[in-house]
Amino acid sequence: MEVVLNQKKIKELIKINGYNVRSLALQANLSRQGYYDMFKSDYQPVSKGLYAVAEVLGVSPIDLLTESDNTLRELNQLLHNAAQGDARNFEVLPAIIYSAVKKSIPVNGTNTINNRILAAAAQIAYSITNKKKLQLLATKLEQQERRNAFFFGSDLMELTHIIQMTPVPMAKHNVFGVFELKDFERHFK
Amino acid sequence: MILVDQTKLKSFIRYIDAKLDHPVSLYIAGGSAVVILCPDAQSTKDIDTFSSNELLLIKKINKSIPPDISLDINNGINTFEAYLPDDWKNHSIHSSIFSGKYLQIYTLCPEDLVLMKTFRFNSKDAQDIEKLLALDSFNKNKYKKRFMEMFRAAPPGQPIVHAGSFAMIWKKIHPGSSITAQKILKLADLE
Repeated sequence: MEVVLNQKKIKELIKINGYNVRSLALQANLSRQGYYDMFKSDYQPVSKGLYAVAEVLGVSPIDLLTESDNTLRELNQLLHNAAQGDARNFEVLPAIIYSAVKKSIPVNGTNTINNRILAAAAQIAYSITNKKKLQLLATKLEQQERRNAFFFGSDLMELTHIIQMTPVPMAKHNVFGVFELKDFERHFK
Repeated sequence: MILVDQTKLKSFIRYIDAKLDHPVSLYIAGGSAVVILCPDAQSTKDIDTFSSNELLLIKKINKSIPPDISLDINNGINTFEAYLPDDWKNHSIHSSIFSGKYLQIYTLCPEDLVLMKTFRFNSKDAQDIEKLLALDSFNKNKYKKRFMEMFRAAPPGQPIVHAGSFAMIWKKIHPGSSITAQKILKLADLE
């Protein structure tokens, strides 16, 4: 079983104890960045930071841990493969992003290609679910650099054909591929 | 489990096979068929099969499968049967590696898989087609012959679109080919 910090619970305890992030970090002898780093996917959860925060909040360190959700791992795997041009991985990505947003799991990429793909996937998820948070995510991830584009299927298909057949939510973020919205919808179960 | 590879597909098939007490044949198309034929392929959790009485039995067994092994088995591929020659079963391939004691697994032949994907031809299909074209066993002339046979039979969809899809695929098989959608239409007397 993998464990991670329970961000939601920590936020609740901060509020109950009358802290904010700045004052908590100060009490726990952490920098603000050090506090936020605790929630990154590669952070080792059982650490001095966890013990320090737990002591300040007056709880056991175990109370601040929760079982790792597979969603983030799946999302990262899908994103990695989609960024290599895998259309099938991209097809599943909008549904996983929706799942991540519902669970308040942060969604962001590590480079412009990843962010472009995530923005397109979030836009598709929004067009299917109409959940505003997804539109906000897509906008946040949207790349201002419009000259670059990403294509699925370009080894076999002509670019003009791909562009013509791309669903509007994808094209909005300069990500192109021959899909139908129903291809994405079936993963939203 | 998001995407399915050969290992996951085998686990599913073995579970089903263990619950059977008589021979059952399953004909698979779509992404799962590509996974069976191409070791590095992945598919989504759907297994597209052709309708049969046995499918109902397998679906019933599927309800008891642990979630981490379970896949969605369906007969959705029936809607695409209009794009296949009537003798597709005769050309299907038995997979001894995936078949169990009772459950016998067949896939469409690579040429028929590419044929079906030619008529839909989305980005997923494009990547599957590339994998299938790379198989040593892929017979490009058989593919072309069966495509022209189905194309002349006027399957659903616009002929110019299907002809364009075939032209793109044929150029991958024969780089530098001067084939165009118009030439295909002329060849098929569909201009």
